[in-house]
Amino acid sequence: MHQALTDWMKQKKWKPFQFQKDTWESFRQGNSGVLHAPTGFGKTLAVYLGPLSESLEEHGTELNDKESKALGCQIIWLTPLRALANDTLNALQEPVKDLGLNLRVDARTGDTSSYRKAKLREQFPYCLVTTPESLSLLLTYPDTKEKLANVKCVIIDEWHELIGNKRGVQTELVLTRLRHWNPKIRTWALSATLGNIDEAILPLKPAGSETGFDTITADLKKKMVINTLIPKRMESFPWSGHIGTRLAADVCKILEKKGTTLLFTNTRAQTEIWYQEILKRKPDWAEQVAIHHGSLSKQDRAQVEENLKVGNVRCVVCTSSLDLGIDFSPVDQVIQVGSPKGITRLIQRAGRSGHRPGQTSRITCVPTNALELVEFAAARDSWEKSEIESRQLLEKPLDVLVQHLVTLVIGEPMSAAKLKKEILTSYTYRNITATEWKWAIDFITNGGALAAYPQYEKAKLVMGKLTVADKRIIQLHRMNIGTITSDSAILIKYVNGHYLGTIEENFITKLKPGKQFIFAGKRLELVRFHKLTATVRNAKTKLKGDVPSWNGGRMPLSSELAHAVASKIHTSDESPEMKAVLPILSIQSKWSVLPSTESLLIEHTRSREGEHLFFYPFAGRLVHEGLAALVAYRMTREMADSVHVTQNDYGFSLTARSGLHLDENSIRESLSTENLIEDLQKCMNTAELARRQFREVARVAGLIVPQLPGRHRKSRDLQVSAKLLYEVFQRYDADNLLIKQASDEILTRQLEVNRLRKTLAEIANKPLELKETERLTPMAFPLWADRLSAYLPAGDAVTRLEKMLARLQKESASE
Amino acid sequence: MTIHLGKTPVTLLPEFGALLPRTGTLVLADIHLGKSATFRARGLPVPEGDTTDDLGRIDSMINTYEVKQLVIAGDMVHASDGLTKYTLESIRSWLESLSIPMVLTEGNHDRKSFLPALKLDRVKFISADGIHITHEPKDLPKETPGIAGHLHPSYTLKDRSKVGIKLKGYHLCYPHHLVLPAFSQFTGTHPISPSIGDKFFSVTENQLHEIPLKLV
Repeated sequence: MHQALTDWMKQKKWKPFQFQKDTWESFRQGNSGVLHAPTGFGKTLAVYLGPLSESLEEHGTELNDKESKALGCQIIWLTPLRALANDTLNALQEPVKDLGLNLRVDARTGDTSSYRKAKLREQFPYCLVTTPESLSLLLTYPDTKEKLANVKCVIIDEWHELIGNKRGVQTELVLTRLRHWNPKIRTWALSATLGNIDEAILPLKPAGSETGFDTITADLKKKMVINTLIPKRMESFPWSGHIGTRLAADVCKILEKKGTTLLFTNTRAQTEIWYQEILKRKPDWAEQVAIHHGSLSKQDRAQVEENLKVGNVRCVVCTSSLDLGIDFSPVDQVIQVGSPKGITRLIQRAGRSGHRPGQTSRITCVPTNALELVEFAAARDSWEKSEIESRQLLEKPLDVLVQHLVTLVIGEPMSAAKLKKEILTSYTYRNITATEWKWAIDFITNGGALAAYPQYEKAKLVMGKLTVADKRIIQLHRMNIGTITSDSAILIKYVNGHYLGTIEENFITKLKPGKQFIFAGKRLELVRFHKLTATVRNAKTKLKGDVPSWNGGRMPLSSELAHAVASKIHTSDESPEMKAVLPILSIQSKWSVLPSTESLLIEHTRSREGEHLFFYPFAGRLVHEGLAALVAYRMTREMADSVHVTQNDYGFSLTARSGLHLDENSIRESLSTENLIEDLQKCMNTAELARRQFREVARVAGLIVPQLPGRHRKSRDLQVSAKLLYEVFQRYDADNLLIKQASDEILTRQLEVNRLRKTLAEIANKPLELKETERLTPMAFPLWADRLSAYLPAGDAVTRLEKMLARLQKESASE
Repeated sequence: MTIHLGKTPVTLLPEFGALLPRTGTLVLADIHLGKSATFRARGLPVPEGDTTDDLGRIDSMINTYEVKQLVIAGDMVHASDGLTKYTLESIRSWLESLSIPMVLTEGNHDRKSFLPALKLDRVKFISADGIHITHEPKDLPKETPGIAGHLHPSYTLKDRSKVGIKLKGYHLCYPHHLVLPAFSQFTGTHPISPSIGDKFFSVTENQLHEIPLKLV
């Protein structure tokens, strides 16, 4: 470590942890690596001071302007969240400022003004803080190669957020390009601990790197207190449901006790509901309670974050928008409303409080139904045993590849062979086949050999090198870089033009002018809705108003936590949660038995609606969705009646007028792994699902031009829905690999076919516990209560339509 | 299915076109020829097939229904970028092979993108069997029965499940204006806001149905 930095730390009274020293040493030896450490122990300095110290050793601390410029860009800091960029920037600037070093640390993200972006490209800073998308975009400029020639270290923050999704793959590809330019470049990733950390680092140590690779784990465990608000009157506490504000009074009491609280909910709609609920009970807190979620305007969010930092706010009601690393030291406690959904997630949220070394993080869990008490207890157990979630890597997504290939050849013309050599060094695409590669090159050059793509040419071959010449195509591509798809968002503005945030189209189109709704904690009245903008005013009178729902609201329980719950239910202990939930669990054992991991419980019961079968595999919502459809399909192949299915994180149910029996043989048969894919494709209407998934694939591959409000009017002729595109491809180029990718993604990601197969294989080796029950048991009740949103798994749109028409005609005839 | 606009019978065809049986006039709207070509010209690899398909469908309708006159109620082509050599040649050879007269009432897309190369007669509107035909419904005279396109009407039917079914179809605006569905298969739709007296007709399995409308 350079003396100046050692002195600086001494002055700050910081004593480096062992893991920090290890990281600095490993970097000095020329290694890349990954570092896991809990938040609040100085991860940032561990990876940042190494390269900074090296620069000081090489060039001294007294650089003049010219020397500083000559250094060029030496460190790139990649952050997955734009919102984090500013805080990171401040942290990275601190030593530079304190020591009066003539080094520039600057950020370039989607939020940076185009003027600043142009300036930054002219003269790159010594340390550049940026996002994967923004860095990818820089690769499209021919001079970037030269400007980044001096980069010695790329730091990837929050790697666990990137791994297993397309952004992670994009990051990997960008790193591959940087390594292609300079194989000696060192990359350091910061990651929270993952269940499969050995696998998760594979994309970071690919074939193209010439550096060693080190895994450094901070041997520190954050002190953590996870407790639960136990409902006083358990007997009146609901067995299911997920928006209950029943415990709001107790929550307000907790808020009174401590200085600053973050109150996490699971959906944006719930933040709005809880915000209203708190203000209803404590009207005089109006100035002290704030709301924060991803759909609010940037300014409003920034204001809330600022208030948090200076500590003049009592409570912020928020979603995962405040999950990640922003350092809010003044947060005194954290409240989690509703299921934590995952172990890592709960711990991450808890870690928002006591964000300093040595301090204790505290989280109070507030259940919205009885079974969530078990989830909290199970999550705490798993955390203590360090059993946490894994993230699965993606299997060579071709949409990301074609986007990246175009990015590369815009920046630097290159032969297909050289491109292939480079791409093959990445971990994700290490075994791309010749067919896939040829398809990808065709896709960006002539469309493909088999189907007709007359007059199409994105990249063309000039003197053996692929290049893109058309300025319009380059511009369109730059606008499209990235892998995040969002629904077309509608802007919400006041009549005077003040911008409030965004809302989803299908909510606002249901409202008529004059109708009220709740947004950003305000009661608003719709004035008009025109061209992707909803104009609103504050409502003067109080009418009934809806809280908008946003898509992606319902997140499944992680399979690790679902599994932990299954064992926890069976091994009741002395924890307050389990004691509280005991009465309900004993009803379950009295009327049926407790589900367990040793056997598969299946209950059968009758009601006015007919017969019900309830299965409890505890495999998580997504797997249950597939299982439910599969079992329904297989059981009812010879049945005339239709079957309705529902599912949650613990199990799934089938309902039919008649014909569902507790017959071990037929149940075993319906749970077999034979013909799994074929049957799934038949029963899940995978074609329809694939069509929906195609939206994301087409967007990333650059087939859909995102519609941004108020901009890009020029691309109006290119507006088309993914559904139409899918149909065109189906009709005229059905073998297109993007179509195949969409179906694969549905099977692996939506239906989690691998986990589904594993679950079925496990069930095959377990005894079945078949129980005839007189009533709905506590475990069955939530599944039954969901029947209103039940769907008929089989049946295509035409049959559905015929049914609807028949019903409508019957209704109108009886009027 | 045959309805009446004023006193004129109009047959709604499952192929998304209206036939005036007394004069043998086939009215189609919003064909958007060369749409996929527009995408390709701008660097988005969308396969060809739509233009040839759509022209072929018109030919087979002309044969099936013994059409004597073809009226295209606007938006015959999509955009000037899409009038590539390939699209122009397809349209030209189709026009040459056409055995009946054709009239185009100019639509907004045509106005922006028509190349003189096609040498097509374009009019603001045309009358056939007492029906006023033009591109935009707002240009139809109130008192006269009329047919227009432009809006690509659709209506979403809902049952108890959350996902409704969107149907493309004919919107009959009370009393006597008919808005045709877009003939092109590669084009989006726009939900209608029905008023009292309006009707909506759509197709399932090659059969026309009247869809009961719920007024919002």
